[in-house]
Amino acid sequence: MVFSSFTFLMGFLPLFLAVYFLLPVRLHNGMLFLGSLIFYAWGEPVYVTLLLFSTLVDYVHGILVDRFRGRRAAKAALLSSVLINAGLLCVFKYSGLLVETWNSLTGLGIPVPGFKLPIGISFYTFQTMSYTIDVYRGKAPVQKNIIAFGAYVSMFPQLIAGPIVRYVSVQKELDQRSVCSWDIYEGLRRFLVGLGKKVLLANPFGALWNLYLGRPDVSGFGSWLGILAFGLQIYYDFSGYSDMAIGLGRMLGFSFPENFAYPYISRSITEFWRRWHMTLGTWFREYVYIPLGGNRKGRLCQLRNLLIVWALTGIWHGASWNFLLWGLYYASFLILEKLFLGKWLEKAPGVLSHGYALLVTAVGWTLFAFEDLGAWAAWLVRMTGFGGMGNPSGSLWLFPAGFDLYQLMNFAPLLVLGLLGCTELPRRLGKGMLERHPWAETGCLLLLLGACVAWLAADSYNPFLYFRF
Amino acid sequence: MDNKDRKDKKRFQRTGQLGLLAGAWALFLILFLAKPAVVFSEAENRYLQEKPAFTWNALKSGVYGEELEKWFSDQLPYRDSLVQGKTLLSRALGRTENQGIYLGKNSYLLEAFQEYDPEIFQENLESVGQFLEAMEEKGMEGHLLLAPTAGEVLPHYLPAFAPELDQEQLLSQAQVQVPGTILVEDALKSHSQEYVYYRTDHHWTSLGAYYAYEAFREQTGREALPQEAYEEEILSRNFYGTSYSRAGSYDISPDSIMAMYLPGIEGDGLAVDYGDGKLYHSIYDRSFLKKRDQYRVFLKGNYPLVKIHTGVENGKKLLLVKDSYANTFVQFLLTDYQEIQMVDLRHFKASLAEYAAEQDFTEVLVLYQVKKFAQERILF
Repeated sequence: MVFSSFTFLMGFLPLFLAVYFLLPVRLHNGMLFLGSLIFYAWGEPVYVTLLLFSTLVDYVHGILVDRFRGRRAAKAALLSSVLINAGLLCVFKYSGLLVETWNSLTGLGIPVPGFKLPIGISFYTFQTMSYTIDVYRGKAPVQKNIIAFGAYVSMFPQLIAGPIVRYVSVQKELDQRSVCSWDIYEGLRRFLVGLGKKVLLANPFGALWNLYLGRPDVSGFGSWLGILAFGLQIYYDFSGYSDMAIGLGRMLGFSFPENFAYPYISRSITEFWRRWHMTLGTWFREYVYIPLGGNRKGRLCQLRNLLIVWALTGIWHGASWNFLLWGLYYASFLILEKLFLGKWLEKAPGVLSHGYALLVTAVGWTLFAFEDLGAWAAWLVRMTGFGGMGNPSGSLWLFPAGFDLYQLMNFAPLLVLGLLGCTELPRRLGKGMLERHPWAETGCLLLLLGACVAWLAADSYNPFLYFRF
Repeated sequence: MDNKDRKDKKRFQRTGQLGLLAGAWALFLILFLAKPAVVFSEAENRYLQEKPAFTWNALKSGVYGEELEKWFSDQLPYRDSLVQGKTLLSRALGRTENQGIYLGKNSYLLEAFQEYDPEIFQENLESVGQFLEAMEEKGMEGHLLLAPTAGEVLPHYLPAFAPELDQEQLLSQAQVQVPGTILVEDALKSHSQEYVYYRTDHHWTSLGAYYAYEAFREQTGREALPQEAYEEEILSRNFYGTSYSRAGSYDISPDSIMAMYLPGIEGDGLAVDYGDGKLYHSIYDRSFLKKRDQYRVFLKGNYPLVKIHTGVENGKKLLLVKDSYANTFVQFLLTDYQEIQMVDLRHFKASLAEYAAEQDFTEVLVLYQVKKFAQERILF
């Protein structure tokens, strides 16, 4: 089930919240577990077993790690947990890619396994791993209540698209949490803002991007407009989902970590990755980068660690080699910034540093968007302005073609809104208003809800991008 | 004390804000559950999803989930107003296109034709060419007529920079590849200030069809009756067509439908056979004027095979292979042939070549709108 569906908004959510709040507090975790399983099973009835299996594995491993604490068996249990989780990911997410690549390298014809990617597997395997590792490290107490642990793993607000909530950050709230009407209101507000991002911004930008993607002949200008639309779509889609998750979590008494902090206003790539999908960055830092030695074992070692972390970060985004390249692409800029570029950027005027970060990100999105490297290269050539060469009907350099002007006319106000929304401006305005006119804010939220319902009613166009995770 | 009062007031206010937000949503849900199910949407011309029946199998296969989502969205309270609100708001935000329909100037809704499949177009041309050639070998005269869409004939109503295809290029490609191709584009364009296409529907009007007919007669070395010879009867003044439905309840005034016929052509001499065992003495079925799709007043819409005996005795027998654009065009053919048989290949199941050979036609006309012809495979 996706949040931006009527089944969720008019069926699941009201029903779940009504039952949840009518039940006594001691049954809340049970209800959350049950509700989450129904939520998950709605789209993936078969793969619920996988989710339950992953839950059970780490529940048992957590207890083993705790019981054998200080002995070698604890380490063995930890290793077994990591191997099982990574194994699940390999089988269900990467086996197709690996076998296909092996076949094309060796010329063999091993049948390619055709697993459909289980929704959310990249998120929940990372979460359960974080639990066992933190128990091993003594950072989190063992959870003996399987209902509470199941509620953590399957928690529907963030099950499908994150944020990646590490066990330590919700461990106390799992056992004891309280909500007041203010929490519910604030949670609802956050949820509606996220829904608006998804329905009113991400979907139209996605439609614009698809218009360009489907065209045989894209001008230089158009290739930039297209990638701008893609960058806005992916930002509003993903940050909208995170907002909805955080809002829903708050309604239930959880404080999930923030996942986005205006990434497009960054002045370096290092800063961008501190602002984009923050929980993923934290996860890789905590469980891969630092255990590998981080920056404590010298330059060369740090370089190796960065490459490993970013190769993994890249391929985590989808089972296709372009995502690996995408990760390494970012690794190279992060390394350059660590070596000398970072210092230089700090001193550079804002126009340059912002421009640099946006340019690198925009080119990065082309790698993200195209699985086919040939199509990717062609798009890049268009972005240089040389795409129209030798094509009499193509438009020259970066001048817009008629098609671009038409799309620009159709989307200009939305693009302006979308770009403004990437800055802190709307939040500042909203905050001022909230303090002075709380009722006006509620009115705006009602209008926002109405607009989302109208857009959803009118639009059958509602795909969800992040199902590849 | 003062402090506590303020705190209480604030808490009261927050609860009120939550109550308003949650209450509004609860009210919407109650309205949804309480309102009687709407079976048919007039605006969309389709049956709406009613509450799906629950079965384990339907749940497992995902059908139940799909139908449930459709049920929610189809049965929303104030659904039409919501959709209309969205269209108006997007238009205010600069959108000039909705669901493949341009929201053009002067309240014209025009069907967008921005891309086509060159392979399908080529295949269709080859297939028509071979069919016409085979018919000509049997002594029939064969022609292909591709009708341009409104955007090509009335470009002044298109939104600025609308990325329309160059239909002229498609039509001249047809002319090069298929001998006997009739070009009606220029004829229509020279009347582009007249009411040649509906504003809310993708078809040409009777007047538009007449100008095409005139060009057809001219290019086949014959003469057309002058426009004045036809009696013009307004059949409807409240016609909302396909473009209107697709654009999403757009606030626009309706079209009128005009019939053009020679006085006295309807009557016992004329017999239309739709294959339902009855004979009709008119090509118009006025009962459709009270229904949603009023364009079906012309020959009841699309039937696999319609046989028309015109009462004219000149021994000419026409096979008209066509889509719905031909339904208005036929008005003008009634005086030229003794018998006309209209075949809609989407519904006609027999082999067309064999059928044509059996029937001793003297002439074949293939008439399609160019967009459909360039996008959908048509098997002759």
